[in-house]
Amino acid sequence: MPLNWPPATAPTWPPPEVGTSLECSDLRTLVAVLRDLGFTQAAPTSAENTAFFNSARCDHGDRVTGRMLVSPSGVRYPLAVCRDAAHRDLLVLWPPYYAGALSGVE
Amino acid sequence: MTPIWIEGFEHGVLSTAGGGIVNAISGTVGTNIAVTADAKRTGGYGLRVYPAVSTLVNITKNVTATILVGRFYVKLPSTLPTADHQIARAMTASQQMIFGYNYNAGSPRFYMMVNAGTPRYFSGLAADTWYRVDFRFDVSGATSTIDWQIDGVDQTQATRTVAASSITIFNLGISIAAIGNVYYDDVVLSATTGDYPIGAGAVVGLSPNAAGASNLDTNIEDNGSVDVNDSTNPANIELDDVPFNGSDYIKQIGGASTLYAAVAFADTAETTIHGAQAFLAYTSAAASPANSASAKIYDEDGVETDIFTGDMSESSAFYKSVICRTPTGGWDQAAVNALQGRVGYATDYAPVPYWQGLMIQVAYAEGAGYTLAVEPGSYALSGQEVGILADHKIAMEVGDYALGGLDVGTLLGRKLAIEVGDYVLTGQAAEFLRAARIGADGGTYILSGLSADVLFDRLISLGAGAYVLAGQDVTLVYVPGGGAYIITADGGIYAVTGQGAGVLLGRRLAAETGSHVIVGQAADLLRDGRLAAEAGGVVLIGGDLGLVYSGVIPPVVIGRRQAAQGVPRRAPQGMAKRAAEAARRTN
Repeated sequence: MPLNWPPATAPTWPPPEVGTSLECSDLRTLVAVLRDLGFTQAAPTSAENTAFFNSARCDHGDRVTGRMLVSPSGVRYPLAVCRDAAHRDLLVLWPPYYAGALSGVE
Repeated sequence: MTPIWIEGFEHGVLSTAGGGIVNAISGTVGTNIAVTADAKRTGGYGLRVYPAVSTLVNITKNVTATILVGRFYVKLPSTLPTADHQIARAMTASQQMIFGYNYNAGSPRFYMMVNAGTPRYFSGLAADTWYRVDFRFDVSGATSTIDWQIDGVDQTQATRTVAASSITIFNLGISIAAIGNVYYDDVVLSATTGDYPIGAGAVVGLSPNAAGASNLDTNIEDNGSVDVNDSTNPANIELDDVPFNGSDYIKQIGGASTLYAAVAFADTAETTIHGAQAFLAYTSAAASPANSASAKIYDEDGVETDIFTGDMSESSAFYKSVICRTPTGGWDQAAVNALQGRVGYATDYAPVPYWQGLMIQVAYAEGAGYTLAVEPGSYALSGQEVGILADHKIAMEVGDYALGGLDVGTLLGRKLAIEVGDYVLTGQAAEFLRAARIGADGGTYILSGLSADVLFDRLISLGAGAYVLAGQDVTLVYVPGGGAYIITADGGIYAVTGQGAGVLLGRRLAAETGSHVIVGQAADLLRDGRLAAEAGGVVLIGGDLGLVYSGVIPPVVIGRRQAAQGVPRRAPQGMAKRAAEAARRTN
């Protein structure tokens, strides 16, 4: 399991624009599905890095890089990608909170 | 054909974990979207999408294509929805192929369109009916086009002028917030334009059912830590679970990276093969650190293809899949039946990798020689066109079987067999069963309202159960030229009522055990026929003069209407007198 993930202060998943549930196998699919619903990507702010990503570790203990997906109403949802190039796990906001090796490849 | 996705949902799983089944699920699995047995068209499972409140519910499969060709089957529920909703979609970054349902003020129809282009319609949509949808979505040029068919019938092309692009996503489900209830099965996608239309077919799931040719020592074990071998403890025991995420597994605890356990898959009976896709379920003893092992498909050319090689360190079931390499000689039955699965090849087994399941899903064409079989349940064929069942076998072991309204020749030259259950044929036209064989070992068999010659020159047999012929016309079972027509009932009830003159002329009715009832026949009904009853009752009621002329009747109960009241007065003498009178008239 990832460490310090999901963030306790992250918005509730799924976004209301999605419906009752949304899960994806990888970052590319998640971005494509949410783009269809009007979401955009953004870099995390310093405050978001502190709140969400600095202490997070993937299930292999690697540090992570933050990603933000922004809903049409402006709600910012954090995702994290493992920094180990051989692992590149995507940490997500639905159980089991990670999507497996190489799921964070963009 | 070059499929890029073959999915009949025969693994029984709906998950995004690992990306081997689907890449995204919108909706709550088990609440408003699921792979279920009741959603199947063929095989054991299909996809059911059933939001009870307005919400987005669909699955996503990632694709890479500028021309996407597909075939899927879709069924709407018995009560058609009153709201419009999308059913399937293919997407680029800027445009979409949208196939949907339009209520149309009570005249429901399918529609197909490119984004906000002009929708094209298929009208006359029926509830609770499987429709085959073939499509070709071409976004390679300045005008995007959709060619499409419903049940093999070309529909008006949908077009829209937009920039060329690339298709990245294919959806099945209700892709806008809506209420609906839709079933899907037997999905095939291709990125090759010439594959359109894929046409009638299905997807069958083949699970491991025997050992293959393994390369083992004591480092590949089952989940009970017993060494796997190809004779007494083959790996197929653990890898055959359906649904796909069973608790048993094969593991590699050490040894060389050349070790593997091999399994053979169940054979297919199909002969026209489109392709195959291999599916894997796996996990590990722990979620970290990374390990490395493989699952592969070994084909008839002796070539291995990876289903997955890499880090298997997951604490819950993950899934991978791969389109199987087309053998040198192309796909055929032998090529499918030669496929083997292999698990092992670990180069890092800390944590210990677990293989939970393997399956091959094979896409094939439906056509001549297709077998319709149902073991338990009901099977209904109605309104088929002439020849639809030509050269096919229809078999049912348990359940109900109904054929109604079939055209002439529909069942010409084929076999209908039923071991247990009810069998009903009604309203068929002349020659319906010509040269066909009908057999029922147990159950009820009913033929009613058939025209003349319906049973001409064919065999009807019934081992146990009830057999009813009612209201047939003259010459129903007539066999010209002295041919032997035989109606036999070894056990059970045999009833023939209301036939016209000559109906049973020249044929034999035999009942070894059970009851034999003939009521209300006209004159000459049994002329030259034989009635035999070795055990059981034979009853003739109300027959006219000449009824049994020259026939042979073992006298159990014989008479006119008095016989029905239990007063068989002077029956032998009466019969002889009537025979003599008939002979005088003949002379």
